[in-house]
Amino acid sequence: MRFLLLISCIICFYLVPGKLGAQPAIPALCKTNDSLGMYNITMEFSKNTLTGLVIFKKTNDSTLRLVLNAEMGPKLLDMELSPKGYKTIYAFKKLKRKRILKTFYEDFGALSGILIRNKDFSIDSSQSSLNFTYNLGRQKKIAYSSELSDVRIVSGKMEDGKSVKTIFHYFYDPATSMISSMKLEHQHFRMVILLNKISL
Amino acid sequence: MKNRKSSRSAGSILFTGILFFMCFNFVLISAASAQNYTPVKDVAGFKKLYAAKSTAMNTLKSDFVQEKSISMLTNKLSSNGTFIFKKTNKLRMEYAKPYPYIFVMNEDQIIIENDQKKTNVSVNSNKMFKMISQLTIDCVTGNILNSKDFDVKISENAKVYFLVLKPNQKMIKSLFTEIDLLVAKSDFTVDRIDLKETSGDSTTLIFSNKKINTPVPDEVFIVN
Repeated sequence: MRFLLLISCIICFYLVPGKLGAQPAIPALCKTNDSLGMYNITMEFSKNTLTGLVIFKKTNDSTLRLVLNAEMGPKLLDMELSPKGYKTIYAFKKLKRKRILKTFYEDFGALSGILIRNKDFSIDSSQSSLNFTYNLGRQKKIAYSSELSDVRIVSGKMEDGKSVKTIFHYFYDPATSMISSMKLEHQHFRMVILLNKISL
Repeated sequence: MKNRKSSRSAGSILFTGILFFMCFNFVLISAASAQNYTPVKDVAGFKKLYAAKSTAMNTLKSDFVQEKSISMLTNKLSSNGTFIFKKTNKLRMEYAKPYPYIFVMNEDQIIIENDQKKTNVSVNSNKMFKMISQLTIDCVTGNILNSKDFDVKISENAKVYFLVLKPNQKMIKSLFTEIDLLVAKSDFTVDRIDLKETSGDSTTLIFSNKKINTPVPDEVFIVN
């Protein structure tokens, strides 16, 4: 059931050849027909709060464009994410720092699944859960897991060596089996990203 | 061979002609739209009148439509809601569509409420929010004309004043290249604000159904 739910949520990146013949589905952020996903975002960093709009657009099979707008107007970030890295199209002056941009890349890359595209993975399943662990190289890993007892949530974590960098959750709308919201939390500093799907 | 060459040159002449015709039309259209506005001769008089009207405005209630042009998207993103201002520094923008969202600035506090959560933000911890909301208030109240953060050009036609504001303050300049205002001559309220961003995108706020000085209780600026 859990796996079926995951499968049903594939939209942006799915079933690419992997070690086991097919890469398992990962939560999708975009619609099938136009490859566009829009989310209301609340980002808390240190003592700062930012709310706005995030738009994901699939530009090709392995590239996702991300635009972050402040709620009341200006565009703050426009970048292309791919498994190989990111390209900054526009960044607000205060965000135009390598460390910040890399953090955004890893966070949104992990949430969107772009980081694991074509990466080797292993499956660990038990009676209660199903886990996919992707090796990103340089001791970095992303693991997605789901509890069979609760089909509404898929969790993930990004590890660097033995340290967990971020933990994230996908919450599903039981009526549509589509992602309704996401939450990502950094473990080494205070940064929380909440995304809530907007249906236009 | 000669025929092919001559047909190529005829083609290029035709192409040049079309290009010239399009450019000429563009110049004509631009000139025509620019002619709609003539520079205001008595700028000091305008500022005085605008300031007097602004001083007399204690509250403003209005509907608004926000249109956002993002280079990545072919269509504009449109949202709408209600706008409430109360002197001196209270603002409530309640977005109804496409999703509910409330932005309140109450003096030095900013409250944001969406369906995820309600967030209280001190203006000191988010200078950008403060700047944008203050900018909106200043545009609506006309205080922007007194601001040293902008160079202002004022022109007019029969119905509106057209204000072009070029920012010279560092933070505003990092976000916006230009802010255009259309101010109604009838009551000196703002009809439209165009925020042109350094990224090339733009945001337009269009105000309608404006009500000046209707009672607005302070509770409006407290989000429960």
